Amino acid sequence: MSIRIDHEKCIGCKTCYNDCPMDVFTCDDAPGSKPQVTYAEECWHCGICWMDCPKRAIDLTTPASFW
Amino acid sequence: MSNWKDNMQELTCDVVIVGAGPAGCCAALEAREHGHDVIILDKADIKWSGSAGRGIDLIHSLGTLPDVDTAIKSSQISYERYYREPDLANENVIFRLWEREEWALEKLMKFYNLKWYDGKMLWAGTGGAYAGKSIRFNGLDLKPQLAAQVKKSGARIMNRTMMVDVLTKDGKAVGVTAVGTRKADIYIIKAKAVVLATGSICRHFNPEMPTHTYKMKYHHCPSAITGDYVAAWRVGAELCNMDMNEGSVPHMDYTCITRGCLIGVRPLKIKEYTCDGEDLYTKNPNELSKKMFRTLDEMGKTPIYRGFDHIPDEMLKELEVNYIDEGFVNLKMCGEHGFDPKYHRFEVPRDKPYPPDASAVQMPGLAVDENFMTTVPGIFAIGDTVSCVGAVMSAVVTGYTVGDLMGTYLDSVTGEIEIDEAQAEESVNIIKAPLEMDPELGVTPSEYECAIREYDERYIGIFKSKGKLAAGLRRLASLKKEFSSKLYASNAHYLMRALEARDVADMAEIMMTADMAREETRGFFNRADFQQTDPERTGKLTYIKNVDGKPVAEIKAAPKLKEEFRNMPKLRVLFDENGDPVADADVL
Repeated sequence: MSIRIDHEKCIGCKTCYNDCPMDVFTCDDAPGSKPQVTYAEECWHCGICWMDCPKRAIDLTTPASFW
Repeated sequence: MSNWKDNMQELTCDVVIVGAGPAGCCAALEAREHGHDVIILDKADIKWSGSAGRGIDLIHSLGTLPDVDTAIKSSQISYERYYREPDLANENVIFRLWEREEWALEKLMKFYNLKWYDGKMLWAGTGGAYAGKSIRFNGLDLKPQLAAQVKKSGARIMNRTMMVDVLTKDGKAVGVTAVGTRKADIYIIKAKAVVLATGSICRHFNPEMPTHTYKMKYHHCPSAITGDYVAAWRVGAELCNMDMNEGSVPHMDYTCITRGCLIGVRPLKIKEYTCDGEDLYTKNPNELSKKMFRTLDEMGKTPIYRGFDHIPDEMLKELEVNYIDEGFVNLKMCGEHGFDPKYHRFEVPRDKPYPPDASAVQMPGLAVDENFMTTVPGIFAIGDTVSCVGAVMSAVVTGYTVGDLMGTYLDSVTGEIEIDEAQAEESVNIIKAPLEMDPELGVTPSEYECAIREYDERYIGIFKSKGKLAAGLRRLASLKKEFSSKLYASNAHYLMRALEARDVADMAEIMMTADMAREETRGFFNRADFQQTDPERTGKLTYIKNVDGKPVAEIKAAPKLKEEFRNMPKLRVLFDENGDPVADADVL
C-alpha cells in the first residue's frame, strides 16, 4: 500500500519523480510524461511528494502495517 | 573484446563529496569559497536528501559552552546518561566542534533563519543525549535552501548518483567509483580528496515481511542511507564504536509516532510510564534500556509510554516542530487516530534489537582526527558518518570545517591524479555484475538483504553472546560465499539496492566482530555470557581495522585533548549572554 497519483490531476511536472528520496517513481524522459509508482514497497511515507505536488494529485495512504 | 572502461565516464576534480545531506552541502559551500573544484554526489536528489531531508527542528549546541574542558565534560555527561560510559569520543574532535560551531552557524545564518516565531533565538534544554543546549526552530526547508546555495556556488552536482567504492593508490585516496541510479551509467571520479558525508544507517528492510509487500521497518529519518561509509573501511579506514548497535529507532506504527527529536521541551523532559501509569522517569531519568524493558515486560508492566501531558500549553507549540524531523506524515497519522500529545501518550517499544542506526549520539562510524581525516590519507568524513559526531549541528559544523581545513591536505597533493587500474576495474566489475546476472540463478537484493537483517536480529540481538555471534559470523560467511556474486538486478534502481546490500553484508560482519571482541556488560551493551563490567575496558573503545579484507577489532582509548588545544579560543563568538546573535553578527 503506497502513495497514489491521480493522473487526472497530474500535469507531468515530475516534481515527485525528481524529489523522492527512495526513488519510488519511474517516468519517461519526454516532457509532460506522468510518473508512475513503481517501487511501492520501498515508499517510506515521508510525505515529500505529497507536500510538493503543485496540483495535490498525490494521495498518501497510511499502510496497514503501521496503522 | 570489450574493455572494462567501455561506456564509462571519467571525471576529475579537487574534491569529491559523497552525500548531499546537510554535512555534504556545507562542505561543498566552504570548499567552493576556497576556490576548490567540487563534485558532490547524492543517490537521491540534493533538494530533500539525507536524514534531515524532510526538515529539522533543532540544532544541538556545544559551542555555547565557555571552554573546551566544559564542552568535553558536557559530552561525557551526555554519553554517561545514554550509554553509561563517558569516554566515547576523540576529545580533539569535540574540541573542533566547540571551536568552530559559532563560526559555522554564522555562515548558515547568513542565508537561513534559525530564530523562533517571535524573532529571537529559542534555546531549548535537550532533555536528551546531546551535550549543551539546542536551538529550536522550524527547519522544514533547510535542505532546499542549502541545495539552492550549493547550486549557486558552482559545485558540480550529480544527483541520482551513488558512490560504490573509494579508490586509493599508494595508501591515499584518489577518487571514487559511482553509478547512476536511474540509467546505471558508471563513473570514475578522480579527486585529490574524498569527503564521505553519507550519514549513518537508516534504511532497514524488515526481514519479517514477505517480498512484494511493504518493506520498511523503521520510522526514523527516512532516506536511503545504508552504511555507505563502509566503503572507506574496505580500503583500510578504521571504524569506531561499531559494537554500540543498540539502536533506538521505533517501529513504524502510529502508536510509536517517532522518537526522532521528540525528546523534550525546554527545560522539561518527556516522561515515561508503565501501562498502568507508574512514573518511570522520576525513578530513573535515564534512557530506558532494553534490559530494563525486558524486566518490566516480565513483570507485566508493558507497553511503556512516553508522555508530554505534564508540559504547560504555552510550551507545547515547540512540539509541533518536533514532528518536522520525521515528516508531516507523523502529523497526518496523529490526525487519523486523533492522537494529541497534550492528552495522549505514545508507545515506546524496546523489545526488538535493531542494527546500528541513527541512534541518539550517532556512536558507530569512521574514526577521524581533528581535521576530520580518517586513517586513510585523503579520505575525510563528516556528519553522522563519523563516530560520535551526530545530528544536524555536527553536520553543519563538520561540513564547513572540513571545507575550510582540507586546503592544507589538498596543497600537499601534487601532480596528476593516478588511479590503481586493477582496483578500479574490480569495482567496475562489481557494479556491472548484477545487471549481467541470470535472473534464474540470481538472488534479488531485498532477499539477500533480508537474510542478513535476519542474522542481525537473531545473532546480534540485545543480549549478545559468543555462541550467537559465532553462529552469526558462520552463517553470514556462508551466505556471502554463496550469494554475494549472484546478486541480480533487473534495472538501475535494483542495482542501487544490490550495491547497498553489499554494504549491509559488510556491516553485519563488522558489527558481529566488534561485539565479539567486547567481553563485558556495560550501559546498553549486554553480553549474556559476560555479565560483569570489565575494569580493563573502562575508558576504551572498540576500533575495527581491515586486515586482508576481514574486520579485526582493537580495543584502545580514544585520543585525549592535545595540550595545544586546551587554551585555544573559539573561532567566533556569535551569541551574547542572552543567547542572541552579537551586534556584528552577519545573520538573518
